[in-house]
Amino acid sequence: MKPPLLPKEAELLACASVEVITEARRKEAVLKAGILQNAILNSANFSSIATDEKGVIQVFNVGAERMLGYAAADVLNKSTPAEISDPQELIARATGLSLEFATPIAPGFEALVFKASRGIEDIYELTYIRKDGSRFPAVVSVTALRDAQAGIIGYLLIGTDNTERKAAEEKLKASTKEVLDLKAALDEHAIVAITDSRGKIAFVNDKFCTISKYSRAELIGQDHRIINSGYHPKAFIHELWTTIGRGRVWHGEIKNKAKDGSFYWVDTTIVPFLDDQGKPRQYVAIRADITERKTAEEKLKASTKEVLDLKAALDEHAIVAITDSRGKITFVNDKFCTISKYSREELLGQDHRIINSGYHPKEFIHKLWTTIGHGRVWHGEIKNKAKDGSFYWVDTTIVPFLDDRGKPRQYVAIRADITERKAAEGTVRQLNTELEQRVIQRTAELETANKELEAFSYSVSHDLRAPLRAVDGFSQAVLLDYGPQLPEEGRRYLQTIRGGAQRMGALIDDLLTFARLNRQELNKRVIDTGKLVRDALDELGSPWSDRSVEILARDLPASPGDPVLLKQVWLNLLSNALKYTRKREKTVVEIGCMKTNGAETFFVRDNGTGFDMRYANKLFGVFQRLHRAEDYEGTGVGLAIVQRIIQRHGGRVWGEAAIDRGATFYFTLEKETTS
Amino acid sequence: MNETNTVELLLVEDNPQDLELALRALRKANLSNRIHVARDGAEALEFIFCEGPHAARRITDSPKVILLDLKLPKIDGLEVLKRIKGDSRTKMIPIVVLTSSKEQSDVVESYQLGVNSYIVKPVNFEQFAEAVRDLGLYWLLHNQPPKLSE
Repeated sequence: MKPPLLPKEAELLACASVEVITEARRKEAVLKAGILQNAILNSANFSSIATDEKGVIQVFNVGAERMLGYAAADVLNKSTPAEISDPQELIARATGLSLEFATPIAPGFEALVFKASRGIEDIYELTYIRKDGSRFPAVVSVTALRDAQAGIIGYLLIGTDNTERKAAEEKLKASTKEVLDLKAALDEHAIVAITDSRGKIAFVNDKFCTISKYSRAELIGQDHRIINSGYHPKAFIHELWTTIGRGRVWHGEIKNKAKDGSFYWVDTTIVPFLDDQGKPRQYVAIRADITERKTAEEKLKASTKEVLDLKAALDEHAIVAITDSRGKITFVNDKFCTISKYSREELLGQDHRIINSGYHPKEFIHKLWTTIGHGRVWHGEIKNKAKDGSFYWVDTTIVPFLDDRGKPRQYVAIRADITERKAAEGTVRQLNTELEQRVIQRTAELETANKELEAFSYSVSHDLRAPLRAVDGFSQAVLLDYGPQLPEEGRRYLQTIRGGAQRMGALIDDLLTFARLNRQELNKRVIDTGKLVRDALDELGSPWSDRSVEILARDLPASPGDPVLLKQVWLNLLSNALKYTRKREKTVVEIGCMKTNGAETFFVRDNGTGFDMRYANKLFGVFQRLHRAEDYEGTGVGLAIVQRIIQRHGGRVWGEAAIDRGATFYFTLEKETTS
Repeated sequence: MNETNTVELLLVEDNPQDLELALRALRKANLSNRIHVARDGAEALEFIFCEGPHAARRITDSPKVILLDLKLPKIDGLEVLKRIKGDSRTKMIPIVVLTSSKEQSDVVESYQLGVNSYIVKPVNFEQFAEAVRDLGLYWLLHNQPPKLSE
């Protein structure tokens, strides 16, 4: 290392040159007068020490005295410069020179001047020891002094105090170490890469390799496209290059792709270093792994978006309000405003009393607050009042949100408009009430009508028969008591009166029976039909005992029904069969059962006088008769009774006949599957 | 209708024709002795419980049978039946309801009140006379009434 010229020395030489060049004539004089020698020797900033060829000091100038603390008299002709030099350095120097020149060199004065003695320019650093024992670094220039025959007659050691320069050197060394330490720390901490001006990677640290999963060899010489994730838009990359290309620092977050295809995020700072022309020479990129943070951010963003989507959907669908712990409204959505007809400004800060309809009892409201005040969800239907005084119903869910201490922090109320449903419910309820009222009224009317009918029947039963009895009774009394005194015709008239009275009695009895059928309860049980038919025949007695009668009863299945009423059916049908066969020489009555339209169908068939099917529709009417009374007696109520009983069982009765070819009456006791 | 003699049959009937026919039937059957006729329910109760015009009668001299119509002025037959059958002094007296009513409710209620027999008056005079005659014969001649104590 060539130390630069010391300022004083340069000045001095320059000055001397000027003297040499401009005043050539005085040169000689100055040299002769020893002016130059004196100036050099008397310079206070240089130590000039001259020795004889053995090293004994012959000259010790003012600079040497100042630097080393010795007076010239202390050292002249006594000491060598080796004695005021650091002995360790002398040993080191001697060892070094011995090796360099392959000749043993003593660690004394020889070591200080060996190179100079060989004619080699020698300037070196050396630690001088002052008289007081303190040390200072010096730079020493050694020159051999020769006589005219080039024989060495001594040495000149010109030294300068190197303390300041040494300190600066130390400082530089320290700051370099600091930089290196910083770099080491940075390497520990950050992902570092250096690229050249064209973007080719010139350096990567270990962390770069670790995170990118590429080896250094794979990275060096590549550009950053090797870790491009494709995530960022072109504009983003363009802006980055524009920034650093103009010599400005770029900072941002980049998503990169590692060798294995996985992605990582880095917080990146790229610093361009410029050349003399101000063009980027290289780029240092310092990155920090923020993958975890970005992942968390992305997740948060996704879940935030989800929450926002949900909220948007909720706002579309429901009436939403949020109140603070004291019930003050802090948020309402549009639907709340729409249904309540209040503006958002009118609602915020109010409590829900603003829409209180006054419909619900205090206990209802109290229970609501108790529930949500205890942190539990409340659900129910509430009637509210809108700003214009109209009412609306909402199906309401209030969810309390609790603070760290478990106290409600705020309440979120979600409502659905159920006004229409409530109105419909109200209508249904009103209709039901009206219907019930009507049913009650109708029932009462029906009961009244029934009572009247009963009273009527009772009167008919009791009062109508008494006069008939009088007519018949007194006619008979006349016949018995005064019969002999009456002409034959008179007696016949009385008999006719009696006949009429008795016939009317029979009519009354049948009518009452028929009327009773409507109000009599059905007492259904399973009936042995065969036995029922035999009982009916027994009851009919033997009005045909003087006739030739054949009764054929075939398989009669058991069937459910009211035995008393069904016996009446069989009585009426069988007595009809016997009555209308009276004029036959041989009566045949057939009783049986068959299936028609999926229902058991009982029938009674006779070989009697039959009837004209054209009048079949009149068969079952009350007081309707298809035969004259003098041919076949009867009230015209029998088949009406049969039909009423069958209908009450849910069945059907019908007749088939032809004049003089007999008649068949069918009946079912259950619904037929097909008609 | 002789108060001094024990009345054997109390006939309670408001309808004059039915009454005459009944009496005729009883007379023809030689059962017309010691018959007392009451024309309404109140009169029947006065007789049985020896009140009003019958205060002199002793309650123990009860008739052997009461023929009772149901449809009566003032107090109806079912009420008369209830009072007589509801009183320990008179409940042993046989009562036959003789009425035009075929109503099942009347029949059931009468039996629930303790009637001894329920006869429906037929329209046919012969049947009516026969019923009255049979009743009179049965209750007056064949039935052994319990001894009543005061």
